[in-house]
Amino acid sequence: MRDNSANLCVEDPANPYGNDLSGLLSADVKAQLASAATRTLAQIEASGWEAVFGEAENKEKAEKVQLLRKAASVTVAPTRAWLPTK
Amino acid sequence: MTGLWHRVNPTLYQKEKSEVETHYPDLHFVRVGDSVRLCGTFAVTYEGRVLDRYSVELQLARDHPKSLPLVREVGGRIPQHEHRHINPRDGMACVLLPDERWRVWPPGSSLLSFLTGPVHSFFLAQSLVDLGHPCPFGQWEHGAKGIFQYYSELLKTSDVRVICNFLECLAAKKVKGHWRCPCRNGRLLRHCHSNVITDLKEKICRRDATKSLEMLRAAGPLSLDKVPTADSVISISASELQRHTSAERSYLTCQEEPPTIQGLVSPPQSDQKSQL
Repeated sequence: MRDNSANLCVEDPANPYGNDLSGLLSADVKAQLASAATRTLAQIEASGWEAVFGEAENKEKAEKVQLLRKAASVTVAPTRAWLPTK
Repeated sequence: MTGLWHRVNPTLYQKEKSEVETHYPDLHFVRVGDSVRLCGTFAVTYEGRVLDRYSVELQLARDHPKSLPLVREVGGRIPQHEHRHINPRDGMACVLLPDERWRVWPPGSSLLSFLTGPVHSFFLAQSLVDLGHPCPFGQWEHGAKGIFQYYSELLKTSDVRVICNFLECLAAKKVKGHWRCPCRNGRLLRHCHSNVITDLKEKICRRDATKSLEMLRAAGPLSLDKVPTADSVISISASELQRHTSAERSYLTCQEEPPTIQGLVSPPQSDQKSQL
C-alpha cells in the first residue's frame, strides 16, 4: 500500500466481473492509504506489531481465564488435589 | 476374593456406561482383560462451552464404586510432577484426598458424578495453572502434611496428637464409650465427642482412616511443623478468629463445653445419654 498505491484496485468477491468498484479508489483515497501505511509501518518499526494490532494472544488468554474462573465459581463441591507421597 | 463389579452387577455397568457416554460422548468404556477403563477426551466446560480438553484414562476399581477410580492424563499436557498433583512414578492424577470423599463423592454416587465433580474440578484447576494462575480451589500439601492439614481444618485443631487420636477411633472396628475421648480432655468418650466419632465413622471409611493414621505416624510430628493449619488456611474475621481461638482453647483444655465442629454433629450435652 505504501509503495504501490497507484496500482491498488478493489473487487467485489461475489461479483468480480459485473460490479465495477474502481470509482471508490480515487487518487486521493490511494494517497491517504499510502500515507496511513507509511505511518503504520513506522509505528511497527518503532514499537512493534503489538503497538498496532494489540496483544491478540493475551486477549484470548484473558477470556479463557475469565471463563475458567467463572466455571470454578459455580462448582458445587470443589475438590483440592492431593498427592499421597512426596 | 470379591467378584468383578461389572460381572456381578451388569445392570450397574450398563447404567454407568449409558450415563457417562450420554454426557461425555468422547469418553468410551473399554474392557481390558478383567478391568474396565474409560478412555477418550475429557472436556472442561462452562455453560455448555468447551474451555479445554484432556486425553484421559480412568481405570475403574474391581470393587467399583466402592473404591475410587484411578485417573491418568495420557495426552502429555500436564507435566508429570508433584507440583501438578501427578504422581511421577505412575502418572496417576490425585484428584482428591480419599478421606474427603464423603463430601464430594459419597458412596453410592454415580461414575458420572465423579466425572462432573472431582475430575472436572481437577482438570479445570490444571487449565488455570497452565495459564499461570493459582488453583482456584486451593490444594492440599503432599503426603502426610496434606492429611494433617485436612483433619486440622475438619476438627479445628493443630494438635497432631488429637488428630491421631481421632483417626485411631475412625480406624477401630468398634469404639467403646468408656474409652478416653480423642480430644484429650480426660472425659469418657460417651460424655464427650461420641456423636462426632459416630458421624465421622459413617463418612470416612476405616481403610482410609487407617492409611492416614499410618502416614501421620510415619511422618512424625516434627515434619508437620510448618504445615498451614486451620488457623492460617481459613480466612475469617478478627472477631471470628478470637471466637475460634477461644473455642479451640476450651476444646483442648476442656474448661468449657467442647465446641461444635463445623459440618459435624455437636458433642452431646451433659444430661444426654450416649448410645455408645
